[in-house]
Amino acid sequence: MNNKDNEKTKGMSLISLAIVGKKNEPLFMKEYRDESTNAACIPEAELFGLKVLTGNTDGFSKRAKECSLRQQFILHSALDRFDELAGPPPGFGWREKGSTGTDAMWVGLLCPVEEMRVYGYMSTTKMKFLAVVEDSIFMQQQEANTTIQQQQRNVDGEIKQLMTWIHQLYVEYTLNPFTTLGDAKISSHRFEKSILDCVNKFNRST
Amino acid sequence: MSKSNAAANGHSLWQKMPKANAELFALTYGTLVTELVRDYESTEDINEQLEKMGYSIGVRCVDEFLAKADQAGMVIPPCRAFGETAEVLAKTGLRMFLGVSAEVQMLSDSSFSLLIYENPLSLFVELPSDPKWKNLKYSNLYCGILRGSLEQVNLRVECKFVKDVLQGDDVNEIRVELKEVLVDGAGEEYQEE
Repeated sequence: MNNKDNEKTKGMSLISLAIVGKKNEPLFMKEYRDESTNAACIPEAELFGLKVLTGNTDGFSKRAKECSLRQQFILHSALDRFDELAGPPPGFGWREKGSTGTDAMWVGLLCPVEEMRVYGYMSTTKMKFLAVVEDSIFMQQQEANTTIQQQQRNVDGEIKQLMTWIHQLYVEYTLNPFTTLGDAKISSHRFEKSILDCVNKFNRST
Repeated sequence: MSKSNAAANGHSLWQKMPKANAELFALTYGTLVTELVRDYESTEDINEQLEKMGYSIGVRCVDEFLAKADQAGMVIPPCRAFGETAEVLAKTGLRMFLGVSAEVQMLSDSSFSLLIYENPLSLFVELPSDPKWKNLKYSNLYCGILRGSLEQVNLRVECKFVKDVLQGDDVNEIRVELKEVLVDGAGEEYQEE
């Protein structure tokens, strides 16, 4: 029936991920889209009329590749939306009455930006997890008979599961006795590698 | 005692022991190590302290081991060769206290290697990538425990970690070398004239 199922080019893919602490300090920001495959994308430097840097010799340009400025901008604006949704203290305004666990921590769609959508998840300790996802929900709608709400719920479910995995990995990271909690950025090979595995698993399954 | 006996004994002794939460155990040890890191400057000092702590644990463990085995009706005969000691240590002793058993390899008359695949102490641990941590032997407590317990049965040994999963190897390997078989003797005041 759905011969489009064989094409894996349509589907969701995670573009970037951010973990923000309770004082809104960034702990982890990473972009997972390969810019080189996106031919329509203009290099940032060109946008501003500057010369394009070649090579990645110094640490600064290497870090910039990890999460491009555009993604950082999107994540920052989504963070504002978090604050709006939180409401007055104690600041868990989006929760429905009586929800517990992952359901209580799931905030949902924060804001759509062009073809990307930003989803949020906030733990009880005010750790915020943001994911920027590119999905082809509108293209799928034409083939299937399901409604937009149904598809949104499906998408929500999958992203909620991804967030649960990431939350779990973050908890394992904090349990390492050598990590210094607080304002420091997360710098652990094991953490980055396992997040990458998670993201790949997510991209493959959707 | 035969190898299969040692393993079976180890398993049944483990069943009888009171259990503790593995995460609590690992986190407690983790805070112990980080406290040592704060107190001491060099990793050699930290390793040495861990070994000393292990030694005091070891001298107490061996009595408990023999007593519990006796209560359970097991016979652990005196070892006729160093290899038997190694097997008992690896399959029965470690199994009883930690729930993981080790393999004995490279056995000779005076030394052997213990291979431990699963280390309950290093749950969740990842060493920072700073080069100064390359010499830290996180689980050095085990070396002290082995040294302490074997000393109580008159075997003076030296134990060293040669491979560590936390440092990137695929298995934890402790090399145990027999230095001296101590002689039982009464103290000077009790020697007969």
